[in-house]
Amino acid sequence: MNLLEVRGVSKHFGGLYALSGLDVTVEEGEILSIIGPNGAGKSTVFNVITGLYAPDGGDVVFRGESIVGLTPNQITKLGIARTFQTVHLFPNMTVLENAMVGQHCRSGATIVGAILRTPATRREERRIRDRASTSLAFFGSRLAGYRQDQPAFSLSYANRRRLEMARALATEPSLILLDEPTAGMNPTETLELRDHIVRMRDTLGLTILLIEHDMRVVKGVSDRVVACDYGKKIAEGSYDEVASHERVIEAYLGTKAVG
Amino acid sequence: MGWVRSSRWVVSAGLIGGIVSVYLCLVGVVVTLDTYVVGRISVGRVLLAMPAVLMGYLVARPTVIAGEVRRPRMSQAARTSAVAGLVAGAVLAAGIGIVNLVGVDTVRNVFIQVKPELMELLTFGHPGVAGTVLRVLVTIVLALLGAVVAYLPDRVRVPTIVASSVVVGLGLLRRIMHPALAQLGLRDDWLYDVVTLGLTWVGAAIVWVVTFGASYAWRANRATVLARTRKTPATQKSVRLLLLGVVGLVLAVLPYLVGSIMAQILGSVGIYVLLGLGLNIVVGYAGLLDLGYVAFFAVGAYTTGILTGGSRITTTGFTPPSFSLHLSFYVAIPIVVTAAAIVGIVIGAPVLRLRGDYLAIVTLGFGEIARVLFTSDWLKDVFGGTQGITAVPAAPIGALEFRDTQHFYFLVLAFCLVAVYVSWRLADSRVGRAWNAMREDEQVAEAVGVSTVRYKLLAFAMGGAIGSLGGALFAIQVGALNNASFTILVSITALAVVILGGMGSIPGVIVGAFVLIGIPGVLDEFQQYRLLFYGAVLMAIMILRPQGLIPNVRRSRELEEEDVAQDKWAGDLAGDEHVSAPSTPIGEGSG
Repeated sequence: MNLLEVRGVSKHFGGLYALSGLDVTVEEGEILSIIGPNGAGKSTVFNVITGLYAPDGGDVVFRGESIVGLTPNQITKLGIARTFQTVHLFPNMTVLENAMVGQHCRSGATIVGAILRTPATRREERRIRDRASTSLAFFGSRLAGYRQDQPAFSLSYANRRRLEMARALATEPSLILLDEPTAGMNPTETLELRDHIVRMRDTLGLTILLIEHDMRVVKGVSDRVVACDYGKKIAEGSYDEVASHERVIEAYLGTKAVG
Repeated sequence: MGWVRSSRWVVSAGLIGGIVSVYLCLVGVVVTLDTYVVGRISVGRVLLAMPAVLMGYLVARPTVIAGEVRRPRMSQAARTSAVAGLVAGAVLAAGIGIVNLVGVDTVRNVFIQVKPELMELLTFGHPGVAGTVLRVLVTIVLALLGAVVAYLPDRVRVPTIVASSVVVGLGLLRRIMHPALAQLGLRDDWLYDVVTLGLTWVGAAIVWVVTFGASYAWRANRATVLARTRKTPATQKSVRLLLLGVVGLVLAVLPYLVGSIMAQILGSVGIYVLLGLGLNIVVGYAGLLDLGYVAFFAVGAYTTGILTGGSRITTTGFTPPSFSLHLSFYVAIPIVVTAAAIVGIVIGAPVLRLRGDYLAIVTLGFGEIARVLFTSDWLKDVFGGTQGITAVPAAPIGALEFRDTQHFYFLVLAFCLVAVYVSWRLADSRVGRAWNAMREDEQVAEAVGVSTVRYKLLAFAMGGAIGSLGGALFAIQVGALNNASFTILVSITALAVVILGGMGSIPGVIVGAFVLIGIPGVLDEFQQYRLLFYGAVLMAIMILRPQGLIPNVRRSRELEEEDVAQDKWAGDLAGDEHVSAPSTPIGEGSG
């Protein structure tokens, strides 16, 4: 079944067409990678799907219903979580609090409940804490122990990336959008993360839409690959099919000089 | 390599010290603040001396180069501070010279505070060159005094500064101390001079020695004492309970100790605690810079005035507003709070898309709009126009009227406790986390699932509700409301309270209110220099301690305990994963 369908989505900024009629379909339970040279519109798709940008044309359908026009927080609540190309945490909040914010859309304590601290609120607060811890524990001891109570700004770069993913996991999504999760990581960390991505699908049952530049990661995790250039899909299929596709090579390396 | 201080630095310090002294003379601080602190030394003289002392202290401080602390030799310290003192003295002398040349009366046309008294004070009553030279010499001596303070070892210097500050403070606080000591049945004629109303020299000396001793002992034993109180959770808890008890007791007897005039100032401090706590939710928790907070203060005050049956002043005398309800204050309060929350949403809705500077400017406008509306002729029938509302009834519970400043204090205290409790609970809740996330990064908070629209409106509503309590209390404290009470200065002061204490910090707001409202209130003579004081305090805070006086406690403690936790965690991990690791210390095991 198709979990997410991006149907002919266009988005332009002034005269710049970041997306022009892009179609992407994500099936439930798969890992789909989007590749393409810089400026191909990959991050723009993510921003359109998560509601940060309104598309100028086309439709985004999640579980059979259009999600165009919903606010980002409503889309998160429907079950789409994301990370950002550059890490965006809440730097002055602790690691655990960052993850607890992820649980916001799965809890409902009101201002009155918070002030009176009713038994129901306290139970819910415990649940939020537990689930946030659980999503931090997905990365093993990296974000566990004393680190939970440290401010997020004190984390190493790789741990910030992990925390951002843990925060996304804490929203209990069914679809997670990862925007270049291995950018800036060293080879060991990249390998570790590759395993994490596979494990997200296998143990948490998530569907994953991935933007990635590191072809070893793309090759290692993807069920399918979509290649874009100039806001259009230029190839789709298995990694090997896409990697050997003429237009993909052209997009990355340019055309041969004639003659 | 020894201690080096560039001569340019020293001369600039001297120039700054001299210019600040001249400035203090020109604005009149030196002569106008004539309360005696000790003997015949007035506050003005102390303030005149401060720049020289501070400057001498600064130039003679040890330097830190690449983490290495280098201390000056005594001769070096003396030389540099003397040079700085000479420069500062020269600036002052030049000022005196110019005034003498031009003539005091001519200068007074521009600088109205330059009076013959000032010149006499500056030249120690010796007109002409002799007095000027004497002033230069005194400035040098003061700078040397600063150098001495800098030269003292830490364990002596800090108690010295503490003891000197306490002496000056006590000297200024006779208005509080005298009735308080009298209430306790203590005589204070050894401490305060009956004629000058300042400290006697003997009293000052005793106070200095006692505080110095106490401070010295505390510094020497602080580590042991703290270690003992933090030993177990049980002792920690009992220490906390004890502290809470002491604070409670002090709060309970405070208005009776300090007398009714001071109790009124405490009431004002409490009102600003409420304003600060409310604004703290908007600015500190949610990160929305609101410069029009006075709107909520006005809503609280005017709705209270109308609902409880205040009167308007009209040509025919006092008439109640068009729809006065004559409710009891306590019935009115829920309505007032609701009204303020609604106003918060009304103000919040149009500014949802604005951030930072833009938000600040628009809210600034809203604050002015509120003031203009409340005092406009258009709404004269309701709010009484510029004359405003008068004779706002008191808030009696049974026989207790709460008009008396000492009783009113308890009413304010009760409201403050409620506001503190609410702020505290909200800070550590789902709602507080959502606000914090929004403050940290609005767009990301939205993407993580926080409805920023809802939580912005909620912050404005909640902040407005708490602020309106301050307005309501203000209405019954003064009993009369008019356009003079709801100027932009209220917004600025409330914001200053929050910034001074530390954004997002509840104790910070309380301390901020005491410093910014309490100090100028208690030191009556400072009233006309209140804004100068605010400006100086805020600049000092922004430069020296931008996180505020009492920053968000939890976080700073976490940073402090981080190392301990890290070691413990590493230890636990090692325990888990390497079960075979030798459990005996290496020194013993491998012997």
